[in-house]
Amino acid sequence: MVLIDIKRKISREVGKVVVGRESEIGLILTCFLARGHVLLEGVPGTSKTLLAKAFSKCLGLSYKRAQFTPDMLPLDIIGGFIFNMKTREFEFKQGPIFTNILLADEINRAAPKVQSALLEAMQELQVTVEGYTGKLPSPFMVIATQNPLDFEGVYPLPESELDRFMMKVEFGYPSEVIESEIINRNLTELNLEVVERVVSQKDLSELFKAVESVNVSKEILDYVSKLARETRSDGRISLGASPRAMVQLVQSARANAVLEGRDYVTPEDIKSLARPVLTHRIKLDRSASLKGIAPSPAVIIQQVLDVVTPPR
Amino acid sequence: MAQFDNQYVLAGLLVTNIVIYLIFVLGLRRATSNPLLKVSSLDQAFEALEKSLKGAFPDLPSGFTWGEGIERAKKLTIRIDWTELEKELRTYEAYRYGKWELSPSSLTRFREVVKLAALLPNKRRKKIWGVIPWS
Repeated sequence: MVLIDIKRKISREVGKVVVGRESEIGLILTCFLARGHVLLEGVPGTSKTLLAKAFSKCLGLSYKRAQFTPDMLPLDIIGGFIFNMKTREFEFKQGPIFTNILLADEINRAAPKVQSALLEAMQELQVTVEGYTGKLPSPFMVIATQNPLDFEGVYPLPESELDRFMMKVEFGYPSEVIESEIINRNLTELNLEVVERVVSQKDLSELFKAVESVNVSKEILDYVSKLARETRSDGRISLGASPRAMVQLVQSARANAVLEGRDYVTPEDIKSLARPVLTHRIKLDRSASLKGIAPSPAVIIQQVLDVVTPPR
Repeated sequence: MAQFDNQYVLAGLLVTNIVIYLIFVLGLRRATSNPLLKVSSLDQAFEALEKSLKGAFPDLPSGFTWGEGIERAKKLTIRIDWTELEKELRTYEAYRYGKWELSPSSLTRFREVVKLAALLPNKRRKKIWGVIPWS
Protein backbone atom coordinates (compact mmCIF):
# COMPACT_ATOMS: atom_id res chain seq x y z
CA MET A 1 0.00 0.00 0.00
CA VAL A 2 2.65 2.47 1.13
CA LEU A 3 4.93 1.43 -1.71
CA ILE A 4 2.43 2.44 -4.36
CA ASP A 5 1.24 5.60 -2.69
CA ILE A 6 4.45 7.13 -1.42
CA LYS A 7 5.31 9.12 -4.54
CA ARG A 8 1.85 10.67 -4.72
CA LYS A 9 1.79 11.40 -0.98
CA ILE A 10 5.17 13.10 -0.96
CA SER A 11 4.39 15.07 -4.11
CA ARG A 12 1.17 16.27 -2.49
CA GLU A 13 2.86 17.31 0.76
CA VAL A 14 5.80 19.09 -0.88
CA GLY A 15 3.36 20.58 -3.39
CA LYS A 16 1.73 22.47 -0.52
CA VAL A 17 4.69 24.84 -0.52
CA VAL A 18 6.47 24.21 -3.85
CA VAL A 19 4.46 24.52 -7.05
CA GLY A 20 5.02 22.66 -10.30
CA ARG A 21 8.05 20.57 -9.36
CA GLU A 22 6.51 17.08 -9.47
CA SER A 23 9.15 15.54 -11.72
CA GLU A 24 11.99 17.01 -9.61
CA ILE A 25 10.36 15.67 -6.42
CA GLY A 26 10.07 12.25 -8.07
CA LEU A 27 13.79 12.27 -8.94
CA ILE A 28 14.84 13.33 -5.43
CA LEU A 29 12.69 10.58 -3.93
CA THR A 30 14.14 8.01 -6.34
CA CYS A 31 17.63 9.13 -5.37
CA PHE A 32 16.81 8.93 -1.65
CA LEU A 33 15.41 5.39 -1.94
CA ALA A 34 18.49 4.36 -3.91
CA ARG A 35 20.63 5.72 -1.05
CA GLY A 36 22.20 8.35 -3.26
CA HIS A 37 22.90 12.06 -3.00
CA VAL A 38 21.43 14.71 -5.23
CA LEU A 39 22.75 17.94 -6.69
CA LEU A 40 20.16 20.55 -7.54
CA GLU A 41 21.33 23.11 -10.07
CA GLY A 42 19.52 26.26 -11.02
CA VAL A 43 19.52 30.01 -10.83
CA PRO A 44 18.73 31.56 -7.43
CA GLY A 45 15.06 31.80 -6.51
CA THR A 46 13.80 28.62 -8.14
CA SER A 47 12.69 26.99 -4.85
CA LYS A 48 15.59 24.53 -4.54
CA THR A 49 16.13 25.13 -0.82
CA LEU A 50 12.44 25.20 0.00
CA LEU A 51 11.90 21.93 -1.82
CA ALA A 52 14.76 20.27 0.07
CA LYS A 53 13.35 21.44 3.42
CA ALA A 54 9.82 20.31 2.61
CA PHE A 55 11.09 16.96 1.35
CA SER A 56 12.96 16.13 4.56
CA LYS A 57 10.02 17.31 6.65
CA CYS A 58 7.51 14.99 5.02
CA LEU A 59 9.88 12.05 5.54
CA GLY A 60 10.11 12.92 9.23
CA LEU A 61 13.89 12.74 9.24
CA SER A 62 16.44 14.93 10.97
CA TYR A 63 17.56 17.77 8.78
CA LYS A 64 20.35 20.36 8.93
CA ARG A 65 21.35 23.11 6.60
CA ALA A 66 24.88 24.28 5.91
CA GLN A 67 25.34 27.44 3.90
CA PHE A 68 28.57 27.06 1.97
CA THR A 69 30.70 30.21 1.73
CA PRO A 70 34.23 30.93 0.41
CA ASP A 71 35.66 31.34 3.95
CA MET A 72 34.22 28.07 5.23
CA LEU A 73 36.52 25.42 6.76
CA PRO A 74 36.08 21.62 6.68
CA LEU A 75 35.47 21.57 10.45
CA ASP A 76 32.47 23.86 9.96
CA ILE A 77 30.74 21.00 8.21
CA ILE A 78 32.27 17.85 9.70
CA GLY A 79 33.00 19.03 13.22
CA GLY A 80 36.22 18.98 15.18
CA PHE A 81 37.96 18.53 18.51
CA ILE A 82 37.30 21.21 21.08
CA PHE A 83 39.05 21.44 24.42
CA ASN A 84 36.66 20.90 27.30
CA MET A 85 37.78 23.07 30.22
CA LYS A 86 35.89 20.96 32.78
CA THR A 87 37.17 17.54 31.82
CA ARG A 88 40.44 19.01 30.51
CA GLU A 89 40.19 16.80 27.48
CA PHE A 90 39.62 17.27 23.78
CA GLU A 91 36.09 16.25 22.77
CA PHE A 92 34.70 15.76 19.31
CA LYS A 93 31.95 18.25 18.52
CA GLN A 94 29.79 16.98 15.69
CA GLY A 95 29.23 19.28 12.74
CA PRO A 96 25.98 19.67 10.80
CA ILE A 97 26.84 16.62 8.72
CA PHE A 98 25.58 14.37 11.54
CA THR A 99 21.99 14.30 10.37
CA ASN A 100 19.75 12.27 8.08
CA ILE A 101 19.36 14.90 5.42
CA LEU A 102 22.00 17.56 4.94
CA LEU A 103 21.18 20.53 2.79
CA ALA A 104 24.49 21.77 1.44
CA ASP A 105 23.32 25.11 0.16
CA GLU A 106 25.33 26.69 -2.67
CA ILE A 107 27.99 23.99 -2.40
CA ASN A 108 30.05 25.48 -5.21
CA ARG A 109 30.65 28.70 -3.27
CA ALA A 110 32.99 26.89 -0.86
CA ALA A 111 36.66 26.22 -1.56
CA PRO A 112 37.55 22.80 -3.00
CA LYS A 113 39.01 21.54 0.32
CA VAL A 114 35.61 22.01 1.98
CA GLN A 115 33.85 20.33 -0.92
CA SER A 116 36.29 17.45 -0.66
CA ALA A 117 35.56 17.11 3.07
CA LEU A 118 32.24 15.65 2.04
CA LEU A 119 33.78 12.85 -0.05
CA GLU A 120 34.26 10.29 2.72
CA ALA A 121 30.90 11.08 4.26
CA MET A 122 29.05 10.67 0.98
CA GLN A 123 30.74 7.43 -0.01
CA GLU A 124 31.39 5.62 3.27
CA LEU A 125 28.77 7.28 5.49
CA GLN A 126 31.37 8.16 8.08
CA VAL A 127 33.80 10.95 8.85
CA THR A 128 37.35 10.72 10.09
CA VAL A 129 39.05 13.53 11.96
CA GLU A 130 42.49 13.03 13.52
CA GLY A 131 42.00 9.30 14.02
CA TYR A 132 38.44 9.65 15.27
CA THR A 133 35.84 7.95 13.07
CA GLY A 134 32.23 8.93 13.48
CA LYS A 135 29.39 6.99 11.84
CA LEU A 136 26.69 9.05 10.23
CA PRO A 137 23.03 8.30 10.95
CA SER A 138 21.17 6.09 8.50
CA PRO A 139 19.63 6.97 6.11
CA PHE A 140 21.97 9.76 5.12
CA MET A 141 21.49 11.96 2.10
CA VAL A 142 23.16 15.13 0.90
CA ILE A 143 20.91 17.48 -1.02
CA ALA A 144 23.29 20.05 -2.43
CA THR A 145 22.29 23.10 -4.38
CA GLN A 146 24.54 24.94 -6.77
CA ASN A 147 24.31 27.95 -9.01
CA PRO A 148 25.26 27.65 -12.67
CA LEU A 149 29.01 27.76 -13.21
CA ASP A 150 28.97 31.04 -15.12
CA PHE A 151 27.92 32.86 -11.95
CA GLU A 152 30.33 35.07 -9.95
CA GLY A 153 32.33 33.55 -7.09
CA VAL A 154 31.71 29.87 -7.70
CA TYR A 155 34.24 27.02 -7.71
CA PRO A 156 33.45 24.13 -10.03
CA LEU A 157 33.09 20.83 -8.16
CA PRO A 158 35.95 18.40 -8.85
CA GLU A 159 35.10 15.31 -10.94
CA SER A 160 35.55 12.99 -7.95
CA GLU A 161 33.03 15.02 -5.97
CA LEU A 162 30.55 15.19 -8.86
CA ASP A 163 30.79 11.43 -9.25
CA ARG A 164 29.53 11.02 -5.67
CA PHE A 165 26.24 12.64 -6.56
CA MET A 166 23.85 10.05 -7.88
CA MET A 167 21.87 12.64 -9.81
CA LYS A 168 21.96 16.21 -10.93
CA VAL A 169 18.51 17.70 -11.15
CA GLU A 170 18.16 20.92 -13.10
CA PHE A 171 15.80 23.62 -11.93
CA GLY A 172 14.73 25.77 -14.81
CA TYR A 173 12.42 28.74 -14.65
CA PRO A 174 8.76 27.82 -14.13
CA SER A 175 6.16 28.18 -16.86
CA GLU A 176 3.96 31.27 -17.00
CA VAL A 177 0.98 29.57 -15.32
CA ILE A 178 3.14 28.03 -12.56
CA GLU A 179 4.94 31.32 -11.94
CA SER A 180 1.64 33.11 -11.55
CA GLU A 181 0.59 30.47 -8.99
CA ILE A 182 3.91 30.89 -7.12
CA ILE A 183 3.42 34.66 -6.90
CA ASN A 184 -0.15 34.16 -5.74
CA ARG A 185 0.89 31.75 -2.98
CA ASN A 186 3.63 34.07 -1.82
CA LEU A 187 1.16 36.92 -1.27
CA THR A 188 0.52 35.27 2.08
CA GLU A 189 3.44 33.99 4.14
CA LEU A 190 4.55 30.50 3.16
CA ASN A 191 4.69 28.26 6.18
CA LEU A 192 6.52 24.94 6.24
CA GLU A 193 4.31 23.91 9.16
CA VAL A 194 1.64 22.88 6.67
CA VAL A 195 3.92 20.09 5.40
CA GLU A 196 3.15 16.94 7.36
CA ARG A 197 5.11 13.77 7.85
CA VAL A 198 3.60 11.14 5.57
CA VAL A 199 6.03 8.25 5.92
CA SER A 200 6.76 6.38 9.12
CA GLN A 201 10.12 4.86 10.06
CA LYS A 202 8.62 1.40 9.41
CA ASP A 203 7.43 2.42 5.95
CA LEU A 204 10.89 3.72 5.14
CA SER A 205 12.59 0.47 6.15
CA GLU A 206 10.04 -1.43 4.04
CA LEU A 207 10.77 0.78 1.08
CA PHE A 208 14.54 0.33 1.37
CA LYS A 209 14.05 -3.44 1.64
CA ALA A 210 11.79 -3.41 -1.42
CA VAL A 211 14.45 -1.57 -3.43
CA GLU A 212 17.09 -4.11 -2.42
CA SER A 213 14.89 -6.98 -3.56
CA VAL A 214 14.20 -5.60 -7.04
CA ASN A 215 15.40 -8.00 -9.71
CA VAL A 216 17.85 -6.78 -12.36
CA SER A 217 18.19 -9.28 -15.19
CA LYS A 218 21.51 -10.11 -16.81
CA GLU A 219 20.33 -8.53 -20.07
CA ILE A 220 19.63 -5.23 -18.33
CA LEU A 221 23.11 -5.29 -16.79
CA ASP A 222 24.62 -5.96 -20.22
CA TYR A 223 22.60 -3.08 -21.64
CA VAL A 224 23.93 -0.74 -18.94
CA SER A 225 27.52 -1.74 -19.58
CA LYS A 226 27.02 -1.18 -23.33
CA LEU A 227 25.81 2.33 -22.52
CA ALA A 228 28.91 2.91 -20.38
CA ARG A 229 31.21 1.74 -23.18
CA GLU A 230 29.45 3.95 -25.68
CA THR A 231 30.08 7.05 -23.51
CA ARG A 232 33.74 6.09 -23.18
CA SER A 233 34.33 5.50 -26.89
CA ASP A 234 32.64 8.71 -28.05
CA GLY A 235 35.31 11.03 -29.47
CA ARG A 236 33.52 14.12 -28.22
CA ILE A 237 33.86 12.98 -24.60
CA SER A 238 37.15 13.07 -22.69
CA LEU A 239 35.75 11.48 -19.52
CA GLY A 240 33.01 8.88 -19.91
CA ALA A 241 30.70 7.38 -17.33
CA SER A 242 32.54 5.67 -14.45
CA PRO A 243 31.68 2.19 -13.14
CA ARG A 244 30.31 3.95 -10.03
CA ALA A 245 27.99 5.93 -12.29
CA MET A 246 26.63 2.75 -13.83
CA VAL A 247 26.15 1.10 -10.42
CA GLN A 248 24.22 4.16 -9.33
CA LEU A 249 22.18 4.14 -12.54
CA VAL A 250 21.07 0.58 -11.80
CA GLN A 251 20.39 1.42 -8.14
CA SER A 252 18.24 4.38 -9.08
CA ALA A 253 16.42 2.25 -11.67
CA ARG A 254 15.59 -0.23 -8.89
CA ALA A 255 14.16 2.57 -6.76
CA ASN A 256 12.17 3.81 -9.74
CA ALA A 257 10.78 0.31 -10.28
CA VAL A 258 9.55 0.22 -6.66
CA LEU A 259 7.87 3.59 -7.07
CA GLU A 260 6.16 2.25 -10.21
CA GLY A 261 4.96 -0.81 -8.29
CA ARG A 262 7.29 -3.35 -9.92
CA ASP A 263 9.88 -5.76 -8.57
CA TYR A 264 12.02 -5.80 -11.71
CA VAL A 265 13.91 -3.21 -13.74
CA THR A 266 12.97 -2.47 -17.35
CA PRO A 267 15.02 -0.67 -20.03
CA GLU A 268 12.50 2.16 -19.62
CA ASP A 269 13.75 2.72 -16.04
CA ILE A 270 17.33 2.91 -17.25
CA LYS A 271 16.54 5.28 -20.10
CA SER A 272 14.41 7.62 -18.02
CA LEU A 273 17.17 8.01 -15.42
CA ALA A 274 20.25 8.04 -17.65
CA ARG A 275 20.11 11.78 -18.17
CA PRO A 276 19.98 12.92 -14.50
CA VAL A 277 22.48 10.22 -13.48
CA LEU A 278 25.05 10.57 -16.26
CA THR A 279 24.99 14.13 -17.57
CA HIS A 280 27.04 15.71 -14.78
CA ARG A 281 29.67 12.96 -14.84
CA ILE A 282 30.78 13.12 -18.44
CA LYS A 283 33.31 15.69 -19.50
CA LEU A 284 33.37 17.06 -23.01
CA ASP A 285 36.57 16.93 -25.00
CA ARG A 286 38.06 20.43 -25.02
CA SER A 287 39.11 20.35 -28.68
CA ALA A 288 35.70 19.04 -29.76
CA SER A 289 34.07 21.84 -27.77
CA LEU A 290 36.32 24.46 -29.35
CA LYS A 291 35.60 23.12 -32.83
CA GLY A 292 31.93 23.33 -31.99
CA ILE A 293 31.28 19.67 -32.77
CA ALA A 294 30.38 18.71 -29.21
CA PRO A 295 26.82 19.43 -28.20
CA SER A 296 25.81 19.57 -24.52
CA PRO A 297 26.36 16.44 -22.38
CA ALA A 298 22.58 15.93 -22.22
CA VAL A 299 22.37 15.76 -26.03
CA ILE A 300 25.28 13.30 -26.16
CA ILE A 301 23.63 11.06 -23.55
CA GLN A 302 20.41 11.11 -25.60
CA GLN A 303 22.38 10.14 -28.72
CA VAL A 304 24.01 7.28 -26.83
CA LEU A 305 20.58 6.07 -25.67
CA ASP A 306 19.32 6.24 -29.25
CA VAL A 307 22.17 4.11 -30.57
CA VAL A 308 22.36 1.30 -28.00
CA THR A 309 19.64 -1.31 -28.47
CA PRO A 310 17.95 -2.30 -25.22
CA PRO A 311 16.87 -5.90 -24.59
CA ARG A 312 13.34 -6.38 -25.94
CA MET B 1 -22.54 -18.42 -85.73
CA ALA B 2 -23.99 -20.00 -82.55
CA GLN B 3 -21.07 -22.44 -82.41
CA PHE B 4 -18.65 -19.51 -82.75
CA ASP B 5 -20.38 -17.68 -79.83
CA ASN B 6 -20.29 -20.80 -77.63
CA GLN B 7 -16.55 -21.14 -78.19
CA TYR B 8 -16.00 -17.57 -77.06
CA VAL B 9 -18.26 -18.03 -74.02
CA LEU B 10 -16.42 -21.23 -73.08
CA ALA B 11 -13.03 -19.60 -73.48
CA GLY B 12 -14.21 -16.60 -71.45
CA LEU B 13 -15.52 -18.82 -68.68
CA LEU B 14 -12.30 -20.78 -68.67
CA VAL B 15 -10.21 -17.61 -68.35
CA THR B 16 -12.49 -16.27 -65.62
CA ASN B 17 -12.21 -19.59 -63.82
CA ILE B 18 -8.44 -19.50 -64.00
CA VAL B 19 -8.32 -15.90 -62.77
CA ILE B 20 -10.66 -16.66 -59.83
CA TYR B 21 -8.68 -19.77 -58.99
CA LEU B 22 -5.38 -17.85 -59.14
CA ILE B 23 -6.72 -15.06 -56.92
CA PHE B 24 -7.92 -17.67 -54.45
CA VAL B 25 -4.59 -19.55 -54.41
CA LEU B 26 -2.54 -16.35 -54.14
CA GLY B 27 -4.76 -15.05 -51.37
CA LEU B 28 -4.49 -18.30 -49.48
CA ARG B 29 -0.72 -18.33 -49.89
CA ARG B 30 -0.44 -14.73 -48.72
CA ALA B 31 -2.67 -15.38 -45.74
CA THR B 32 -0.81 -18.48 -44.64
CA SER B 33 2.56 -16.84 -45.19
CA ASN B 34 1.61 -13.92 -42.88
CA PRO B 35 3.93 -14.40 -39.88
CA LEU B 36 1.29 -12.93 -37.58
CA LEU B 37 -0.88 -16.03 -38.10
CA LYS B 38 1.94 -18.18 -36.80
CA VAL B 39 2.29 -16.27 -33.52
CA SER B 40 1.77 -18.72 -30.72
CA SER B 41 3.76 -17.26 -27.82
CA LEU B 42 4.36 -13.97 -26.03
CA ASP B 43 7.91 -13.79 -27.40
CA GLN B 44 6.73 -14.21 -30.98
CA ALA B 45 3.99 -11.62 -30.53
CA PHE B 46 6.44 -8.99 -29.33
CA GLU B 47 8.94 -9.98 -32.00
CA ALA B 48 6.23 -9.30 -34.58
CA LEU B 49 5.40 -5.99 -32.90
CA GLU B 50 9.06 -4.95 -33.00
CA LYS B 51 9.21 -5.60 -36.75
CA SER B 52 5.97 -3.75 -37.33
CA LEU B 53 7.06 -0.75 -35.26
CA LYS B 54 10.31 -0.53 -37.21
CA GLY B 55 8.33 -0.76 -40.44
CA ALA B 56 5.80 1.85 -39.39
CA PHE B 57 8.31 4.33 -37.99
CA PRO B 58 11.56 4.11 -39.97
CA ASP B 59 12.93 7.09 -37.98
CA LEU B 60 12.52 5.25 -34.66
CA PRO B 61 16.06 5.02 -33.19
CA SER B 62 17.45 1.55 -32.62
CA GLY B 63 17.53 2.27 -28.88
CA PHE B 64 13.75 2.55 -28.62
CA THR B 65 11.87 0.90 -25.77
CA TRP B 66 8.42 -0.69 -25.91
CA GLY B 67 6.94 2.31 -24.17
CA GLU B 68 8.39 4.73 -26.72
CA GLY B 69 7.30 2.59 -29.69
CA ILE B 70 3.76 2.20 -28.37
CA GLU B 71 3.58 5.92 -27.61
CA ARG B 72 4.31 6.61 -31.29
CA ALA B 73 1.69 4.07 -32.38
CA LYS B 74 -0.93 5.73 -30.17
CA LYS B 75 -0.65 8.87 -32.29
CA LEU B 76 -1.97 6.95 -35.30
CA THR B 77 -5.68 6.34 -35.57
CA ILE B 78 -5.65 2.61 -34.92
CA ARG B 79 -8.54 0.96 -33.15
CA ILE B 80 -6.84 -0.93 -30.35
CA ASP B 81 -7.78 -1.50 -26.73
CA TRP B 82 -4.80 0.43 -25.40
CA THR B 83 -5.51 -0.45 -21.77
CA GLU B 84 -5.45 -4.14 -22.60
CA LEU B 85 -2.31 -3.62 -24.65
CA GLU B 86 -0.61 -1.95 -21.66
CA LYS B 87 -1.58 -4.97 -19.53
CA GLU B 88 -0.14 -7.35 -22.09
CA LEU B 89 3.05 -5.31 -22.18
CA ARG B 90 3.26 -5.38 -18.40
CA THR B 91 2.83 -9.17 -18.42
CA TYR B 92 5.54 -9.54 -21.04
CA GLU B 93 7.94 -7.27 -19.11
CA ALA B 94 7.35 -9.22 -15.90
CA TYR B 95 8.12 -12.42 -17.77
CA ARG B 96 11.03 -10.96 -19.75
CA TYR B 97 12.85 -8.80 -17.19
CA GLY B 98 11.38 -10.04 -13.92
CA LYS B 99 11.79 -13.71 -14.84
CA TRP B 100 8.29 -14.31 -13.53
CA GLU B 101 6.79 -17.73 -14.07
CA LEU B 102 3.53 -16.99 -15.82
CA SER B 103 0.35 -19.00 -15.79
CA PRO B 104 -0.58 -20.68 -19.11
CA SER B 105 -3.42 -18.19 -19.58
CA SER B 106 -1.04 -15.23 -19.20
CA LEU B 107 1.36 -16.75 -21.69
CA THR B 108 -1.30 -16.66 -24.38
CA ARG B 109 -2.47 -13.14 -23.60
CA PHE B 110 -1.19 -11.14 -26.57
CA ARG B 111 -4.28 -10.47 -28.73
CA GLU B 112 -3.92 -6.67 -28.78
CA VAL B 113 -0.16 -6.87 -29.40
CA VAL B 114 -0.70 -9.02 -32.49
CA LYS B 115 -3.56 -6.79 -33.58
CA LEU B 116 -1.36 -3.71 -33.33
CA ALA B 117 1.46 -5.47 -35.18
CA ALA B 118 -0.97 -6.33 -37.99
CA LEU B 119 -2.59 -2.91 -38.19
CA LEU B 120 0.53 -0.75 -38.18
CA PRO B 121 1.24 0.63 -41.66
CA ASN B 122 4.46 -0.59 -43.21
CA LYS B 123 6.33 2.37 -44.64
CA ARG B 124 9.23 0.18 -45.68
CA ARG B 125 7.07 -1.90 -48.06
CA LYS B 126 8.23 -1.57 -51.66
CA LYS B 127 6.17 0.56 -53.98
CA ILE B 128 4.84 -0.97 -57.17
CA TRP B 129 4.15 1.61 -59.89
CA GLY B 130 4.30 4.31 -57.22
CA VAL B 131 1.69 2.63 -55.00
CA ILE B 132 2.22 0.73 -51.74
CA PRO B 133 0.33 -2.57 -52.16
CA TRP B 134 -2.20 -3.56 -49.47
CA SER B 135 -1.89 -0.25 -47.67
